[in-house]
Amino acid sequence: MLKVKNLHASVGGKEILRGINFEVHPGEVHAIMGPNGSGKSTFASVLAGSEKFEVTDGSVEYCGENLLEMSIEDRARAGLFLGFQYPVEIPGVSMANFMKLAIAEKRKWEGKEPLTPAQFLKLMKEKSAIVELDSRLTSRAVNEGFSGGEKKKNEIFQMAMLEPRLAVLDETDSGLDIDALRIVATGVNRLRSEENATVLITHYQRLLDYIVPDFVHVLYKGEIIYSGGKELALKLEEEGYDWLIKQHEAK
Amino acid sequence: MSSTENKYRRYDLASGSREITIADGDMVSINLGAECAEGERVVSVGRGAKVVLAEVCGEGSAKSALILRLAEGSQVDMTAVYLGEGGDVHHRVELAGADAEFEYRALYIVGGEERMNLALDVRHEVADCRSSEIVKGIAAGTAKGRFSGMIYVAPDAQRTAAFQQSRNLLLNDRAEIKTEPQLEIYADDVKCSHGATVGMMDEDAIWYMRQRGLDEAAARRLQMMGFAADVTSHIADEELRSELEVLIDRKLDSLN
Ligand SMILES: Nc1ncnc2c1ncn2[C@@H]1O[C@H](COP(=O)(O)OP(=O)(O)OP(=O)(O)O)[C@@H](O)[C@H]1O
Ligand SMILES: [Mg+2]
Repeated sequence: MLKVKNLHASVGGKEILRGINFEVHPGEVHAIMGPNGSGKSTFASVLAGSEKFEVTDGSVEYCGENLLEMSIEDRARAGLFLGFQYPVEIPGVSMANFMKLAIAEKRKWEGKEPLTPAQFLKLMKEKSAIVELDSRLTSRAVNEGFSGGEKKKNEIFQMAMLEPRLAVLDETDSGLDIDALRIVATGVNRLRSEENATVLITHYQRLLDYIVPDFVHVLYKGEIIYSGGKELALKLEEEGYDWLIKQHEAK
Repeated sequence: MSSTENKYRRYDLASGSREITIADGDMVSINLGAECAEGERVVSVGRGAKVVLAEVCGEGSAKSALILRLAEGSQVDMTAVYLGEGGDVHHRVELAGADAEFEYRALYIVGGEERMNLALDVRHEVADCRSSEIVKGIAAGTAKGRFSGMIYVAPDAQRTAAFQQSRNLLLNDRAEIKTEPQLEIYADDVKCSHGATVGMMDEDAIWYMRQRGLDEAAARRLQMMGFAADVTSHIADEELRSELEVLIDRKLDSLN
């Protein structure tokens, strides 16, 4: 589904991603961990097509296409979803209206008929229930005045609405209380299938108790320096990154 | 507003009428028409009357000169929208009886080489009145917008509350919008504030919307619609509101 080879990206001449190799197959859950500033969000943004970063080398194949040549919106329509570490507020634009437009674009891309207003409302109701999102939030402006936790839930709500093939969730667990974490994780788990895949960027083992990953990767200074199974997250939680970094630098 | 809308009687404006008098206690909504009238018009609002006013200009250069007189205990809620080719707008509001209340929301969009000049003069002549105004401008191309907002509070107009806000969006760095607030306050027990902001499009919001599948043009448009929503969403008359959305859409289309 996703094949990243030797990906290099920089911003303002400063290299941030320095040769990432990463592969995701349908049905898999990957966790990406790593110290602050190691390039996790940058990696997610580059996959989604952010124009802030310049890809200087490498290739990314997504469902058989050259991802790097696709526009931001085409990547999204083709089922790549980015759950933002910092969701953006859009004053004056209601969640419902925003989702209506997003769903319409996706269906157009897939060659499907647009939803009728009744179908759309039903979908909103169904999906907001999955993440226990207060229905009042869907009539408010996108993320405006939402609490930190509500913003994160709202990301998962949008993911549920759009049913992506590949979801990259950037620290969707940060700032959530225990109940919200459980709700978000349940939401993600319910959306899992054999056809789609999830990449979780996280600092905490806690999330991985709820959403069990098939692989855990450590990103350090723009490179994946180590990959392992779910037990790696536990070890990192107990021992930190030092041992890995030392091992990496010895090479 | 929308829950009480049905209580408002639609006031049929005779064409060319310059003087409109609203009887004491009446509740009316007046649509000053899509065509901006030439010359000065006067609307006198009787005691305790409630008036919802709309002035929408969809094409051509706006030329509006309006005087509103509010008697004791009356309320006026006015929405003014200019989507033609800029223009000249002078609105003067005289709060002439105690407990009168005036609320004002205006929006204009200019592009190309258009010029918009909006002057609002709110005069608190007696005590215990309230006024609040928000004026929003969007400018593209090399267009220029100017808002002069005067708040006058007479020496006896104690316990006045007067608020003014000017919020503006520039679509590039050649467009320009100026706000000139003017306060003349001669009473001492007054709550009064004014503020102005000029900003550019929020590129992070554009990125966010595109990540959800909207193309760039749609994302920019949605952001502008959102900016305008403070003004448009308050319009209770659904027909007028959807007409306005079409006009805004068309105006935004013409900007590129
Ligand atoms: N627009 C930018 N301009 C300059 N430097 C940037 C920019 N964006 C990111 N960086 C730098 O790139 C590095 C990686 O940032 P990134 O946000 O990807 O880290 P991260 O792994 O997500 O960190 P965290 O765990 O704190 O979220 C940091 O040193 C950061 O300062
Ligand atoms: Mg990050």
